[in-house]
Amino acid sequence: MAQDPETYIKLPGKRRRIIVGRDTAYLSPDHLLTIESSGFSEQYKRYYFKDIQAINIIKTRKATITNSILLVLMIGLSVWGAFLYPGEMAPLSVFLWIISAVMLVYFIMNAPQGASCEVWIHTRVQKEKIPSLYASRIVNKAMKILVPAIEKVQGTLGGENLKNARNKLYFKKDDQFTPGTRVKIPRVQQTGGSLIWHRISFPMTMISGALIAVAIVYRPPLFLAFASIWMLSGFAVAVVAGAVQTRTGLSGTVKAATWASAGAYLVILVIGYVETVVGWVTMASELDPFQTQNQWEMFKVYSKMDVLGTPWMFWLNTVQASILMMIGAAGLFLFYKDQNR
Amino acid sequence: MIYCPKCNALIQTAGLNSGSFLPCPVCQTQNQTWLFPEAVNDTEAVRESENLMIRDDAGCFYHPTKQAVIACDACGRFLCALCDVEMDGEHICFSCMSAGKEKKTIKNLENSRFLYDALAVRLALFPVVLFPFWFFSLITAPAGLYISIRHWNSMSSIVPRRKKLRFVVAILVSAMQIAAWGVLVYFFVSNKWD
Repeated sequence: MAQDPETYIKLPGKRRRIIVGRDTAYLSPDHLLTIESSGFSEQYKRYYFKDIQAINIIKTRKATITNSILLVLMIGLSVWGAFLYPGEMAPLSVFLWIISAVMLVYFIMNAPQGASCEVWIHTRVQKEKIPSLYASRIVNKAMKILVPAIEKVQGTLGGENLKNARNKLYFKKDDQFTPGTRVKIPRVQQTGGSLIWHRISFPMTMISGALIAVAIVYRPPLFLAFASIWMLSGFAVAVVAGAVQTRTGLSGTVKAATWASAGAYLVILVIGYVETVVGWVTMASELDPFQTQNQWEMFKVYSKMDVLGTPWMFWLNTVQASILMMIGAAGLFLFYKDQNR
Repeated sequence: MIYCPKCNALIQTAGLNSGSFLPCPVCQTQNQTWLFPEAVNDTEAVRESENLMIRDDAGCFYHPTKQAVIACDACGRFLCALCDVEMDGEHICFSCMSAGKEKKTIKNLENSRFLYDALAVRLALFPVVLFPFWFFSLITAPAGLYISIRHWNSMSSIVPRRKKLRFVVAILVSAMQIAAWGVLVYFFVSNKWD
């Protein structure tokens, strides 16, 4: 009765999510299994070969657009970094080069996969996308395995059979159904996961960006303490939203925005931590040990920093504030657009 | 009917099963379609159970007035055609199916699983990868060790996966971190006493 794990054969293709998780597909003798992994758990969907009516592959422009944007950003940030390098702005240029290097790695990994595409499986009652099959090179390999596996169960549809099937599908009701006719497909809303975390997370991300922007000019210790606690809470909420979103039925873009928000928080928190350590080292002679071990005392030290007068700190804070506000606003817009579909 | 996933318009019939891409008549998206016999299968998948005609015939356990056609492979109860569920070549009743789903003994009914090996290895590696947060290892290392030992025999993914290897890595890395904390505490205490 139970399916032995060893009977599953991996289908080519693995799509990694932005921060954690991946999509894969496996073949068993009688069904296709898709796995949506969130890092700590896996969600399964099965498509039995006897139920599959058709497989539809469509070409998309996602890879072209993504690679073009990456290329432009990569070149732009590298050149910007090169202009800023000598002098006081050197730390910011190193930061920009690191971001460019990450983009370059992503570009090198993605470019050889070929044009992006989507694979849809049609059964009598559903039409579902297979997320792991996302690029033409992978799809070609996968189809060479998947199509024979389905035909082994159902038989083949070729020659005269195909002609009859075509006529039966499209012309059985007085030419009412001809190619190009639109059909209304009822949307099935998935439920199960809570959306409250998303409702909180995106506004929190926007506010975090605003707090960083304010902190450029207004830096009393109490405000800095509040902003730090707010950002740590925002990070925690974004991670929880990302973890619970698997079953919510939210669109891929909203899910991506959630993880982008968590990722942005993480990067900013790590940069803040590095800044603190650098501060300890560079200001070792000015600070007494009591100050470095007491967070409130450190906030007092930070409040005295002249961000406006230090170009690299000003730009770093501006970039961080802009990124958080943009992700928060985009996430909020996409979330409510998704809810009103 | 097979339609374009982008615009829900019926696709062109010329390119079916040829492996070539053809534009959708409405949105111009390049489509490649593979059609299978199920698409034109008109057979209704509805089964009707027959009424019990003769008093001596065996009746369905759940519908006593219906004629039994098969016995459940799991519990042996007689089932009519309506109550019989065929799965992987075996015939089972609804109650065995729901019990199997609840107890996770029927893998083909499971739609999610928690991966304790992934949690353990991440807990163990978190302070190593994100070194600035090394002090979290005070909590994550014992947690990783506990989860590895507690869930050593728990079920992992339904597809082949190196679960034990992950647990071994988690145990080794967690044990090293706990040992490091032990050494740190020992030196702190011994220096203070000296």
